[in-house]
Amino acid sequence: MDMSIPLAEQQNLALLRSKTKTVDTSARVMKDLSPRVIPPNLDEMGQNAEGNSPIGDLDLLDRLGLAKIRLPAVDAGVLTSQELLRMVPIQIWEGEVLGVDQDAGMMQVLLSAKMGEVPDHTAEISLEWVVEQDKDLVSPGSVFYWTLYKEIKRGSIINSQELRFRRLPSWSKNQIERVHRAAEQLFARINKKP
Amino acid sequence: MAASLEIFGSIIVVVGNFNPPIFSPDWLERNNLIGSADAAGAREHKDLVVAKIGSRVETEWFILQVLEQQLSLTSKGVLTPAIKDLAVGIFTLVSQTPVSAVGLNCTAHYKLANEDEYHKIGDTLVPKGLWNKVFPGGNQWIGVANLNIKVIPSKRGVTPIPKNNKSVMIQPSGQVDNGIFFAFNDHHEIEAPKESKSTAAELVARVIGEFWEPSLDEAKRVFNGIIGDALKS
Repeated sequence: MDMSIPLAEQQNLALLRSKTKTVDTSARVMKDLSPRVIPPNLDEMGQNAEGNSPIGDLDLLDRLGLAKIRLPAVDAGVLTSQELLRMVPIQIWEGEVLGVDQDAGMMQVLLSAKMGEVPDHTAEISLEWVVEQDKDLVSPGSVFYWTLYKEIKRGSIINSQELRFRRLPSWSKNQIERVHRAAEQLFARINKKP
Repeated sequence: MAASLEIFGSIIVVVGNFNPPIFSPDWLERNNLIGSADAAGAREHKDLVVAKIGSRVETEWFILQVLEQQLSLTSKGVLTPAIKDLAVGIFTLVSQTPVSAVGLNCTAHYKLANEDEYHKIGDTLVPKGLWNKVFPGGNQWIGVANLNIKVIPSKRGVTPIPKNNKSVMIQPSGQVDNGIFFAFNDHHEIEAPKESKSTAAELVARVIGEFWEPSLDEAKRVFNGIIGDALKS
């Protein structure tokens, strides 16, 4: 008689333990744990043929096999594309734009190596290396990552590079509220009669 | 010959209560987290999902998957700190989202020079003497399928056990011949102090900003240390 615990059961037990004891933030890479976000009987908006969404109905979620999507899991599918993933950085520089010469098509930059003990140094980089979507970010003070990497493709190694500008998010509502509060406090202090 | 690093990636996992449909290519672009070309690529991607129960956005350099109770951001292609900036940006924007933990994960596949070196890693990590004794006969192959090591930052027996911890998972690589797969998890529990002006999501952004790079460096040091020591023995 086979007394071993089936793999699915093991995963359920492990996940039950992780739920009862602590949260799990590890990257689960086993294929069996990869979630199917949308089951075949639901449309893109997570609704079934009757237009009902199963959100909030845990029993229904279970029946649909959707409980899986609630588990801490990472889509293992993304780890199977060998061609895309066989890229290893050789060196990453964090660069700061010091100046831009549009006529010469160059930017003066300060480069700080992220790997190994390499001293900071200045350099000039042609603007042709900047992708179109990042062109409006090229201005003094902006930060970018310049990565040299090896790509292993069908047995041969290709050295390549990538230049990507850092993007800062818009201000959050919370940050704006905090600035407003600070401004109000400052205003009140200034207006306070001695 | 030293092992060569063939695949290297990062996965940032955050546990909380999310509203998946807000995480769309448009939202990322509108908030200046990704560029127009990345957004266009994500909109056209065959695996794009923006739904109440989960969202999945894929570009050439990351995959963002958001379920109701978990957000994961996986690097794709060559790993750069841009993935960290993206995660920091997301949690700065969704600053009111209730979150409870963040995991900074690093994954790597190393290729060993030959099968002997490959087995040397497993035999060093899990010596087979005991196993050969309990499974006698000599006609069996005993090998490591999955090894999980937890590192708790306190002495054994000391309570309470710190909630933050690290773990290392080691498996045979499914991607690389004679390869070893490592996964490093740097787990941080998040609890915004009541008197703090920062929300839990803002603390997540700070943890990612502060610890992502050191965590990656530590993972590399651990992986290289294990391989180096095992091959020396």
